[in-house]
Amino acid sequence: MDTFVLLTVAGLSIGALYYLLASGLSIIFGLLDVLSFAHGALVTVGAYAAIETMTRLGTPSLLGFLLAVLAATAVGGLVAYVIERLLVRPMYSRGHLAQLLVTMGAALIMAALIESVKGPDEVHMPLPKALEKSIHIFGAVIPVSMALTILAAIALHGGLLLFLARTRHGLIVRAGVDNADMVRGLGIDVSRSFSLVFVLGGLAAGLGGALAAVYVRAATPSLGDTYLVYAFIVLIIGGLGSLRGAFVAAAIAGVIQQFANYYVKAGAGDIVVLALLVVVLLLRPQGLFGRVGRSV
Amino acid sequence: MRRVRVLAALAVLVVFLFILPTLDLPTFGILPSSTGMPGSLRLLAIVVITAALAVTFDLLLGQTGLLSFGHAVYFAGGSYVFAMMLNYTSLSFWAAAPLAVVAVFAASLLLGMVSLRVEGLAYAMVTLAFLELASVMVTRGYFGTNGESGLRLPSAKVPEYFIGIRNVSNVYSLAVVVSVVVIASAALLTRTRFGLVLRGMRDNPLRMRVLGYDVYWTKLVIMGVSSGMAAICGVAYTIILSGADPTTTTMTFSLSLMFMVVIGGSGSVAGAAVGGAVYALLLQRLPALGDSVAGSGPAMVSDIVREPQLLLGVIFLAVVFLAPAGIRGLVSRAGAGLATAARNARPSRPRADASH
Repeated sequence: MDTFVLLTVAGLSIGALYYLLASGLSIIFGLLDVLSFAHGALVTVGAYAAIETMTRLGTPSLLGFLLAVLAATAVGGLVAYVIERLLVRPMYSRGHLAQLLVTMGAALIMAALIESVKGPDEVHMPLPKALEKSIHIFGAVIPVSMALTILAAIALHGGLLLFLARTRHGLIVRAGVDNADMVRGLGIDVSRSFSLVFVLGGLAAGLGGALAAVYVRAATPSLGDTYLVYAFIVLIIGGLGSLRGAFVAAAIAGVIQQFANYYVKAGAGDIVVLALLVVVLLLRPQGLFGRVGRSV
Repeated sequence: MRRVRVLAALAVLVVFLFILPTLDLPTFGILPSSTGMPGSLRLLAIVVITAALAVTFDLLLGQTGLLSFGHAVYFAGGSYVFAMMLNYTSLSFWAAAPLAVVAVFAASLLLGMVSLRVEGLAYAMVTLAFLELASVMVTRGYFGTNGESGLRLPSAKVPEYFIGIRNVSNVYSLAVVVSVVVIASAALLTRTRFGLVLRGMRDNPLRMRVLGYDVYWTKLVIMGVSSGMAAICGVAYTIILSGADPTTTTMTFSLSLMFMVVIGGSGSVAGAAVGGAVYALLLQRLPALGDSVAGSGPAMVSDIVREPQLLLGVIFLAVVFLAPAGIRGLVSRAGAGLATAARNARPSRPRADASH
């Protein structure tokens, strides 16, 4: 029983990391029809920003950790803003390939810059004592850091849903997901919404970076790459452009990955998640929550 | 007339590639030594195979408009299946090579049936997931892939004329033959009616569907064909390196395929071949170049040259912003510029005479 609970929580917490990345990609894709490869690198940048803040502040404390998370989130958003304004914006009219290439170019440059400054090796993430502790749930020992990651993802999901449902920008984003041309036709300046959505995705990725650094206790220049691939898988399983779909799919993918890794063989989790992707594609190509007929 | 000239130029190029080992030309630091030396020949073999691989990818990306991240899987697949057949079965060298290609061709059709159920960016993401699967299998050493250290060919099974430094010119000749055959078949394919259908799928899939073409089957066929060709390149690559290389399953390698096609000029067989060759040459020679610059130039320059990913990223952005049609676009623009200059130069003389 306790193993079961622990595996579930561990799975949900890695699913939460996938969601932190997938949520941003989902709204960016929904509104802008752009697939950003730069967001994996934003996770890495966020992780390094968090580690840098923690080490600069000296003895790890809870306050310092909060600052580190804030710094990582802010850096993620800031870098995303720069990328959108300088690189992605001129490419909106140029088609998918050009957009992919500029975001990939940005990702390669960011990873290379991090590597040349910080070196290719792992950098350790110092954690405050409070986060090294565990709590007991249903007889299982759950690390606080895992619970924190899950809570962050749930909070982000709630916040995004509120943003989409209650704010004017959220309204434009929802309308844009349905029909971007119509929104433009109504005379609404969508380019500001575009920036906003890209920055939101960047903030979430930066936050995800800080929490990924907590999860693996370290960062490497290629940290974000794996998360990016799984965020894509989660998007397809959940249904492209559906935030709820991404949320559910991230949880499912994380949990079955942990279970397969534990009960079958280390590494089997990756294969099981891909098998799930294949099954979903064969039975429901639009994804669990995707709508039929939406042009992809 | 123009066609005859192009064909003649290509024939000269092919003959030149074949007799290169006997010529021993100086290379002015582009290659590690003069062209007849083993080091240079091995590098050139990699260059011509990479050019062919880039052409097979252009069939998907440039001709059909399929944004695939999984193409490297079939190259690595050919490479690994071949190496595994030689290591773990009693198949002979010349039996394993075609069998590996057939196996990868069949696998690509299966994966294509799944991934082609979605289109556009979703297809790109699904193919990326397959690449991840291949990467996991290779780095974790499943099915005898031997993990990060790669899988060497058992030397007892490799024919003697492909072994050792003395026989590098044979390996080089094999690479040239494979490369010429692959590139020529791809070029012929783009000139058929089927090639025309492919470009129709790229430019307007909806219209092609309305015209009665089956988009799904056409894409599946081209995926199978280009994957089979990539597997042939993979087998040749394994023979050159005398082993399967795990880096061929990384995301960076997949990105570099896209890079080759785009720097060369997407949608053109010649452009992709040039892009692939240029990329392979850069990748092999940049580290050495970095070392030679390190002593003399500013530190910044050598840092950039030593960090190939940074350079790759910068060139990506430069191509997209400055030269969207790649090297081919630059060449044809320069050609058009020369032509206009010539045209302007000619009528200007009589006019000048008339005014006097």
